[in-house]
Amino acid sequence: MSTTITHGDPSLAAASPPPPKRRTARASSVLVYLSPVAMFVVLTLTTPGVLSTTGVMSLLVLASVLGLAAVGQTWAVMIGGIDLSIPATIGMANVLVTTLYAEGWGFPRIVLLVVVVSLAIGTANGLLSSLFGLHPLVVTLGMASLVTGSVLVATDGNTGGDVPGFITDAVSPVGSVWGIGVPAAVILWLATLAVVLLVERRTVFGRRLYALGSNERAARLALVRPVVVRVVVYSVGALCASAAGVLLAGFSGGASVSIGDPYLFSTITAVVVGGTSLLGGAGTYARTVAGVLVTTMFTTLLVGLEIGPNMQQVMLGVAILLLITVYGRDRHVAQRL
Amino acid sequence: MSTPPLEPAVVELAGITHRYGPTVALSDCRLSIAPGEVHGLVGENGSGKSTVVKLLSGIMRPTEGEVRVGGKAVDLRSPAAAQRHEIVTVFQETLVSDECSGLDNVFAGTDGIFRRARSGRAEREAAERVVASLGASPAILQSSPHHLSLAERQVLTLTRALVRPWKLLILDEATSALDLSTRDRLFAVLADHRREGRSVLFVSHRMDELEILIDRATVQRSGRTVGTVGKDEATPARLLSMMSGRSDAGEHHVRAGARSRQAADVVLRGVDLSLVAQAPAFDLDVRRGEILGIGGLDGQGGSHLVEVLAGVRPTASGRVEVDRDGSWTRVTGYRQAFRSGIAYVPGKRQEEGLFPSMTVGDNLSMATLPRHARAGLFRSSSVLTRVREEMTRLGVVPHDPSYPITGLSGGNAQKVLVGRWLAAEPDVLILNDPLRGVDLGTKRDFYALLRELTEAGTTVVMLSTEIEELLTCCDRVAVCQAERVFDVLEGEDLTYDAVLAAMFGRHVSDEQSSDEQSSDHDTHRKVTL
Ligand SMILES: Nc1ncnc2c1ncn2[C@@H]1O[C@H](COP(=O)(O)OP(=O)(O)OP(=O)(O)O)[C@@H](O)[C@H]1O
Ligand SMILES: [Mg+2]
Repeated sequence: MSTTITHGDPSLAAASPPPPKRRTARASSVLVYLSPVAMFVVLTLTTPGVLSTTGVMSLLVLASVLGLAAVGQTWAVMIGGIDLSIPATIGMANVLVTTLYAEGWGFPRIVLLVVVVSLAIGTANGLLSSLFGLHPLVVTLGMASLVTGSVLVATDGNTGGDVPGFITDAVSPVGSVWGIGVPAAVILWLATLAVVLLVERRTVFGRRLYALGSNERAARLALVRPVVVRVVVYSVGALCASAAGVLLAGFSGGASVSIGDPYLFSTITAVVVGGTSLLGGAGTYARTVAGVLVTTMFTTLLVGLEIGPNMQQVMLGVAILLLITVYGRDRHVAQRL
Repeated sequence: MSTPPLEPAVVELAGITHRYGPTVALSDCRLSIAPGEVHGLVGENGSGKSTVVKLLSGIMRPTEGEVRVGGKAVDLRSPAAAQRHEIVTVFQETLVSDECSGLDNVFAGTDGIFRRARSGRAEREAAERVVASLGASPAILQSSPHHLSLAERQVLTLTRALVRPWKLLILDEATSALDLSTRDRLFAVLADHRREGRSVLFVSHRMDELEILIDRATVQRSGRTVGTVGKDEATPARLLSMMSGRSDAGEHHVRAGARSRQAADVVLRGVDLSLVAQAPAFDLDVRRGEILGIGGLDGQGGSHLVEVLAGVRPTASGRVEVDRDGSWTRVTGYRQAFRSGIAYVPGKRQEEGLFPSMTVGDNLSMATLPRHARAGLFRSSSVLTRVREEMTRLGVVPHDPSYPITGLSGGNAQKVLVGRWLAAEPDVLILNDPLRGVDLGTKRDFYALLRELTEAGTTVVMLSTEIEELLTCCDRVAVCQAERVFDVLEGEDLTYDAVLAAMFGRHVSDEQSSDEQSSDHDTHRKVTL
């Protein structure tokens, strides 16, 4: 096999210039990754007490919870979907841990149950949105109300109870793991981050995830099974959301099925702030991490400025709309001609 | 070079340079289109033809230089601006939305902000007239284009241009997906318009079309304008040598080394095959190491046949079987077919082929990634080596796996799609019109490549809309008509006229009844009657 087709344009081949689109992508991604730094500077200037080990760690703990919750949102968006069942899954895990622990269940058993339920939620999301061609918006919305409802029925509305001490420690800003002064929640997040990025960049599954988001019909013909990809994506998302739900139990000591509610908006905010296109096929969890840090610090800033939760909501909304108009301009039809 | 016509040019490009970031797609491009002429624009893949088209259609503005309409410099800042100057375009990539009906596709962008709920009756009639003049069924206007063939989608985009008022029509390889009869009708329509003083800018890689149609041609090479020649000078040999910068370019033909294979050694076969419900059943044998061409007019079953053979589409009845180490295995789906050694290169590269948000390397390696992976983790170096190999073999420009796929010219994107499945090293390679939009030189090299593959034992089934292509590179040609294989031609019988006749099935005698060259046709009639 020696035939080489030589009728391309040699002058262009020799120059092999870096493509323009990649350059603008690189420029905008530099901005995305710099934005947490800028935000941090603003935060230290306006809010006293942030610039301390405890201050930073409490920010990171908050970011860890949001970060875990946003794994599923990122991947769902990357395959052209969305996951509205994340808050319900967070609430489910939160209530199961506290209630069952109070009833005397061993922690490993509780974890096993939470994992099984999460996988069931993810699998159902993936199957329903593939097999019946339903929009993930509808499927995950239905799933959310199914999960929340079931938890309420199962616990008879008596949510809440007790948490194991090590969970409280895991989210404590002064907590540490193996003598390193970093709370376990943050370690868990970093470990998840490493795995998620490895999967995105180096695995066959990762490539298929992008392919599915980019062009489903073409992906099928390139031997990608959309059902499998969706089931995995929503299951991983549910598992991570459950981890966030368990960690949240460490904060309040109490529990509630609705504890995850703010995370619908904030996970989407984190994804959008990170610049992952809502059209699917592009983006990465690394960008979402930047979005998570910015969102967390922005909220902390607003709290520090004594802006109430309603006004916070308004300002986050404005931020999202601004960002969407900036990022939304990529991938124009003209590029497909 | 021909003398410029006396009347002011309809549209003129002067000293145009265009860059995509650092890539210089056009430099010092000159083009002048006279009223009432069909002006050819030719050049190898990536030579800047589509870039010229996009500049004239208001998709992009030139980095430098001037666009003149009727002698006056204009700023075509948007497609709407181009439309106001009565420039309409059919783009190389057939952009048709599956979300709305064919009719809405045709009139997309004409309505104001308060969109009319239904297209008016006048609009429908206008669209139907155009569709009918192209010989297509008006039914394609009613439904969602989801199930339409590439040719039918192309008819929609042609209609979209032709229903608007225009004095310059730009066709960027708009004929590459059309079958012979639709193409001829389009040419007749264009001839009428030309008589009324309208102009056409015609981009094509098909020398036969250029010869029939054009009055003058401008040749592009590596983003530069080589020159404009009049009809008499625009012979294929001359154009080819201007395009490539080599004097011998017109000469080196690949001789089809058609060999007859032993009929017994069949590697893939259709038994009692029926492509769509109620269509007649037929048998088809694909022999080991042959290149079997699939011909036929659009909608006559050729596309269905390759899809059925590849397991992409279920058979209506009957079965497709592939030889797996001496025993017949039934093909039940395309993943299973792939495991049995069959690879399928789809025809609609935008809808079924490319991943627009990904790089060239990702696009090319998608189907074969697992082969470079252990425990789900792939080795980038090994993937890239393979990608580079395929890119070299197919001459993809630029030779850069990290280039975004949307930054490739149409022909180069097509090569990447073919490369994806060549990399799979299948036993049977099934190609659905693989060289659509690929330039002539590359095509010839590709035929040689296919020939080499078959020598190494690969079997090739290739659908093509071009009869010439079928004749040049295939050992046998199965012509589809009325959703079945009407005839399989080989050896002496494999001639242009025979293929053409078979395409029209039994109707050939009605159309060419006065023709005396009908020994071929007679045998066909015997087959059908
Ligand atoms: N959006 C883009 N981004 C970057 N480079 C581009 C883009 N579009 C085109 N190019 C580059 O510009 C050059 C000219 O491309 P163009 O599409 O005009 O070629 P063409 O003559 O139409 O080729 P073909 O016959 O294959 O359609 C090519 O080298 C191509 O890679
Ligand atoms: Mg082009």
